Amino acid sequence: MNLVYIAIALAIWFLLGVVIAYKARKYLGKGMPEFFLANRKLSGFISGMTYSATTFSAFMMVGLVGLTYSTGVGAVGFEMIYIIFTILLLIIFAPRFWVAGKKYDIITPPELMAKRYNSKWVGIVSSVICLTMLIPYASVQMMGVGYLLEGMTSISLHSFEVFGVTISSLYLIGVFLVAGFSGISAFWAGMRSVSWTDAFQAIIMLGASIILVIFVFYHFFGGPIGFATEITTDHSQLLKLNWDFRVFIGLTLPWAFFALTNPQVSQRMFVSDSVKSIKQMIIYFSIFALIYTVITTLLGLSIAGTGLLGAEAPSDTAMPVLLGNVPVILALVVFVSIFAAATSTLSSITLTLSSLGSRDLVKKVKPSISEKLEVFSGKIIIIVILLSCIVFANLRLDMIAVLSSMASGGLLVMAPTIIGSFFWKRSTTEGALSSMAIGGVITASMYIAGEAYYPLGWWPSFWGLLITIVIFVSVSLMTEPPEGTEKFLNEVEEGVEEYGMI
Amino acid sequence: MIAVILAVLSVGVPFTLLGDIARFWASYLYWTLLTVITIVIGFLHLKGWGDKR
Repeated sequence: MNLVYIAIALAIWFLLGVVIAYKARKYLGKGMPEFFLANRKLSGFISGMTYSATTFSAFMMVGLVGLTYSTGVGAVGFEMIYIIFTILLLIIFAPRFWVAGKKYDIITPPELMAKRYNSKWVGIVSSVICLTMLIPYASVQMMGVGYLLEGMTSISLHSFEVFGVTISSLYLIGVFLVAGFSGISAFWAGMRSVSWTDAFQAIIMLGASIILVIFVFYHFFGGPIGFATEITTDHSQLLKLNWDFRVFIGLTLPWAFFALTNPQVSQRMFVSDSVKSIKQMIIYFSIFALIYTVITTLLGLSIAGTGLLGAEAPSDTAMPVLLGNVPVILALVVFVSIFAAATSTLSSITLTLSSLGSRDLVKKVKPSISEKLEVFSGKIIIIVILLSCIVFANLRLDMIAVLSSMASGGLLVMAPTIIGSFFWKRSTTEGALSSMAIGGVITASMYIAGEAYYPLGWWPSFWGLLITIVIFVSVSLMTEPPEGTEKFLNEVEEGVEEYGMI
Repeated sequence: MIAVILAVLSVGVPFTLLGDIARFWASYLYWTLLTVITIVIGFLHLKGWGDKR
């Protein structure tokens, strides 16, 4: 595709996004809740859209489309189970996070754990797990955009060496563009600008995918009936569930608990301005997630039906190849939507990690720090995180792939601690700390060792969760719950009841 | 309890009863409908939430 068209499309998207971020800046007040949670004043629509745009990264239009194209209906199951469990978890936990956040002025999910378990170390350990797991994952968002920009153009620009690795200018432009936009939206006005730009990006993501699937159906198959007939007759193996059960569980488990274990989404349970807005956040997210998942999986199946790809083509090339066979204007809109998906996820992760760094690490090391300095340290951390991600993205180490796949499984070790903090009064500080630390190390070691070393063929996410539950329960039963447990649980439940969220 | 029922419905049924059927109305439609049903039940539950303040 012509580079000039891509440059124009990206320039329009960039300018619109920057204008929205700038507008959000005008409403920025002072203090930590203001910067990191938009002062808990987000409306239902913005909450729902920022939740959706943060959750759904470039993985949907590139990874999930490719996965459905190559492995069929199993990919649909793993994504639909994610939606089902997210709705359940949001209904159960959003009221409790929201009430606790307001009552105790809590900014971050690790801070909530630290409060419940009455230990700063619980907050520190969970923050370190989040930082370790999410920085490589954030780097992959940048890499994805770099590769996409490189792959979408046939032009070869100047290449040069960085750290002994040959890098093309286009790849680097992609990386810096995403980093720049994410930096601007996170740095200028924190959660307010991130959530506003997220809403803008969510609309682009959904709109572009709807237009694309309609075009593909009518252009390649003569309509939805033609598409269904083609797939059922010539590609029926894709409609069979041919995934290995252990692989399915290994991939699905971390996603089923994603809403609780990934701080960039669980932090969004603090931001709504009212009960009505929390309800709307859940409703908007549910509708967005269902439509976006149906569309991306149908696109994956339809690419198989078009026969555009050779049998040996890597699954991740499915979407770029499709975009090379649709009108330029449509390809550009979808291309920008994938950029938007990557950027919205990256900016949210960056902002959340910076809040974890300033609130759960800097503040814990130096409790006397003023709120102004705390926000300032958060801004510095935003820059440090983005620079780290740029370095990671440019190293293109094989390790990044391992680390990013480790992200979802690694964060899963926090699930028992989070669930136990609201629903098991016998859960203790020692149980939380030991399960997260030991579970995290074991899970990470299994991922690094590689698939050949997975015990009995079950994935690290499965073993990690199992080991974490065993440690969490047994250590908790051997120790005493921290002081204030009853009070915390009573106050949260009273708040939930008082606001009518039972 | 709800989580266990959902886990059985969302994993058990497709892997035991529908996995070998190469039709849209099998696993694909099942998972989509299960999600739609969850969303509808979720909406009905949310209707009962109210801001008392």
